[in-house]
Amino acid sequence: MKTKLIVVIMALMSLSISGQQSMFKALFIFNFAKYIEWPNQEGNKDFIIGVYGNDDIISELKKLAAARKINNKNIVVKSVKSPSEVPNANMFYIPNSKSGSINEVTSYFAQKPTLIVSDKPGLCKKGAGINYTVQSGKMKYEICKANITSHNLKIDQKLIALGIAVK
Amino acid sequence: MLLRKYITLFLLMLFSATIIAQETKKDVNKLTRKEVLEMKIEELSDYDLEEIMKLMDIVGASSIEELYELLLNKDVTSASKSEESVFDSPLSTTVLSHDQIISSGATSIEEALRLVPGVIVREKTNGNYDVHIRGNDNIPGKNMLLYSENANTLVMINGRQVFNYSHGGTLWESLPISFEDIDRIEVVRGPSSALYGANAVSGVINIITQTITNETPLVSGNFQGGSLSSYIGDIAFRKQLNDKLNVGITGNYEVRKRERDEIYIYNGVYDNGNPKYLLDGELIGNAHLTKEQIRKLSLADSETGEQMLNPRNKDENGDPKPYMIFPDAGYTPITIYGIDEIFTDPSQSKKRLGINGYIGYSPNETTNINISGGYQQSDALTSTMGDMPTPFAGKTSNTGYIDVRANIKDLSIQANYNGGTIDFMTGNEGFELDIKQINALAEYNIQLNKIDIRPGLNYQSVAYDDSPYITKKGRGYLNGEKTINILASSLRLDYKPTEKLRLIAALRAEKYNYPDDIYASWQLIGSYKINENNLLRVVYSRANQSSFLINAHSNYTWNLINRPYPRVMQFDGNKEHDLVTNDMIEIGYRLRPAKNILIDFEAFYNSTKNYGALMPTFTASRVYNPAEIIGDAADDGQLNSVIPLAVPDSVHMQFQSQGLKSKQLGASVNIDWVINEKLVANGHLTVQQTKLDNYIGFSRDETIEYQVGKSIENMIGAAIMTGTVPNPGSLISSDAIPTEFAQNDYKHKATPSYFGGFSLTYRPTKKFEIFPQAYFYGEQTFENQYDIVEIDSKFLLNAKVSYKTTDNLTFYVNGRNILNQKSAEFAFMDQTPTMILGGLHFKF
Repeated sequence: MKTKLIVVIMALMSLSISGQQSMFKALFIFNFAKYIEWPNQEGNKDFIIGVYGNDDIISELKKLAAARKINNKNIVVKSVKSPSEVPNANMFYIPNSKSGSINEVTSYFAQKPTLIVSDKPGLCKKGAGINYTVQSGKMKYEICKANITSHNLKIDQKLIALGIAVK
Repeated sequence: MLLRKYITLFLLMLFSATIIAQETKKDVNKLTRKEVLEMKIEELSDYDLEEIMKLMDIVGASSIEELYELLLNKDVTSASKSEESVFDSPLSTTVLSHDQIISSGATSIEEALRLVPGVIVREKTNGNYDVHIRGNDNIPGKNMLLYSENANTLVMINGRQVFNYSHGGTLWESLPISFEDIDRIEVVRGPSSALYGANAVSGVINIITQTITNETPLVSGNFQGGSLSSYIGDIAFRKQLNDKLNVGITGNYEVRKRERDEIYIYNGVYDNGNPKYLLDGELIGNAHLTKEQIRKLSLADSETGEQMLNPRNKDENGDPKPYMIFPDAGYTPITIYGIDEIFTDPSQSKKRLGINGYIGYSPNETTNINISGGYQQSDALTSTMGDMPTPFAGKTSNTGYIDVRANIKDLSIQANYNGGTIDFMTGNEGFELDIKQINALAEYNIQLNKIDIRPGLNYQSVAYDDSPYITKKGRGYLNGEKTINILASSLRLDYKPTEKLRLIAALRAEKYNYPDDIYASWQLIGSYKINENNLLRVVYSRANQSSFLINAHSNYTWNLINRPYPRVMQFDGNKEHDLVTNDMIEIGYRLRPAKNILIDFEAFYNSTKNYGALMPTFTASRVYNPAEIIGDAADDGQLNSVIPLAVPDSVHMQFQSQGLKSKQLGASVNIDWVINEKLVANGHLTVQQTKLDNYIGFSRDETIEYQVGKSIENMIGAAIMTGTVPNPGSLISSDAIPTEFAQNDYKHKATPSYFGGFSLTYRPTKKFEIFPQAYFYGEQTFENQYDIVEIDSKFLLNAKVSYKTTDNLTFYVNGRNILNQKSAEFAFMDQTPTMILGGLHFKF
């Protein structure tokens, strides 16, 4: 019984820490948008962020969506079971647990103006534009310019400078 | 009324305070951790990316995430031949990372495998190990120690096989690489021939070397030394030269001593319990003896204890010489080696060195080419692969390799060559061979919407040649260059009809030159990912061994000069024997009850058939009192008063399967638990039971005795039927096999009924790390041809304490077997004591 209790407490402890992580990941996404230029956005009222599956980041993004706008557009956060549910996504986030679906996501959004953000080391090499990684206890992001410009997105040099450039 | 006023005033103040707070963004350089943690996401969204990154540094909450990533979300490539999360792996899979291996204090790759569930690791002599996946150890038993070598697990370095096709198994000490080369070790349990070809019967161990990137340290290394004059070190120089090219060179050296320099001598007791050997006039049985004592050892009579003399081997005066147990060079015209060549340095257990070079070239995003090459030298004193009056023997290896791997878009190509010289039993003529192994593989990955299709072709050619090292033909066990060629085609289908369901069929057909046959292997897998934290999988798979040169091509004439009989044994291979084949059904379940805990459960049933060995097919015996025997038996067909005087003269041994089959039921559980940033725990346990069908349980010598008895029976029968009585000294013979003694459901106890381990990684501060680790196994019974050995259960405790002076330099103290549990882990082998080593790990 005691052991079970310890397990539960430990689990809760680590969950609260990972809650912080999700918040920062959401803030990163919000900030990435400031350095990317999407083509032909005049007609769109909403800035759509698709998230593959269920992840803690969704509630954090929704909090941001309620308080902030991106490029003067309302932020719409959608949790999806398939990328085809958000064909017009400006950004699409692949949580760590869905990393196995990277090929499905990149092939669906190929040529579309969508920034693909992932959360597992090495996924930039598999087509993600930006990818979260943790190095020496610090959360960082890898960024692959070619994987962003191939989606017809323009990218501010500063975003590359702040991240770890991957070719 | 007044109250309403106050409330309005209060709300106004609050509102304006909020506005002021929003407008006055705090300076990120002045914020404390507590203040950042109290901020809400809406507030934090005022900061730009650069500031957010600084705030994250202040919070510093991400190291636990890194631990999850490093320990609970590892990637593996060996289970599906493409990268996937271990959690999603369709097979029973474990990945050991470089950092885990270093943290554990393992002094060798084999020892590191004690961290992996389902792996049995027994130390034979200091630094030399027996490694088995799940079990099926020492089958068929009651045989040469050769059959205790694990020929069921395919060990690879980057997919390059490092398998010993001469006898089957892995010469671990001859692997050219060491810790600094290794990025991770992937262990897949269960039949995997469908993916990797023959000999992946109980699983594969794929050692993946480091990828060189801009982050790779220019120089890194590891050195430790201490007890039993053990010194283990390696160093790597690696550099990413530009976007396209990287290079690396690594080197390693290891030398270890034994606790004693005596060698164990066995087969020293007659059936009547009397000792067999004479040393300086004293009778002795099984014992640890020095080289000088062994040199003087001769054979005693089973009844009188007198020194026995060999009438077939006389000195210059025509007097018969004694039967020397380890005859010196020149003892007979065919004796060219003596004890000094057999045991050049009995105090040394292991010495090895290796160098490796790596070149990585990526001309564009879809192409990468990796070339590696290296050379190794090793000398190990460990269990013998042959049959001498000692279970110990030296093994030396001098080999080199070159391996080319290329990925061009979806095409994977690999070709490698491994060549050199291996002496499987130093100081014994006929066991030194030149080896040449060539392997070429091409696979193409076709990705359709929901299905991945991976066809492949593989060609392998193995040639071993003992002719350069034998004085004349007939003195080797191959007597020339012999080959094993394998041509294989494979197809793997990986279908994901829904997000949760995955169906895999991997099929492979292998055509061998010996036996001239096609063997099919497969993996049929269904996995169902109930949700992100639960995965259920079912596997049905089949795998087979290849033939080994000793099984197919043996052609060895053993003239016995240290025993009175038989005079000669002829060992022949069997090119058309059936190959060992295993069928497995496995159910696996993986769950993540919390984000920081990963539990992996697997239950398996293995059914393995066609075990074979070099066993007597025919014994010719010389009978000295035929008339008396027949006379005594004539009345009632029984021998009542006469003892037959018949001794085996020549024996024909051939590789044969006697229908032996093993059935194993078992289960493993593994738990990885990141308790907090300072404490990580791991534990694993395997339980299993193995039963044998068609177990005859006769050793070679017992079978020879049986055939002598059957020859006498045949002689009596023929005499009664025809009235003919052979002359005294005539040859009589039998080819009977004692199948009437075959038992089913015989409990095989060479594999412990339970084994496992647990470890803790404790980092009280960023500089200190303590890694206590335990490994344990239950008792076992090892059936050898000369003795049945009970192996006691054991609990080994190790601990490594590291102090990181800077990010670049770590000092440590490493205690192995700190409870000083000295029972032998492997039959007849050494009892390695506590070892304390001090060392350092550096990277610049």
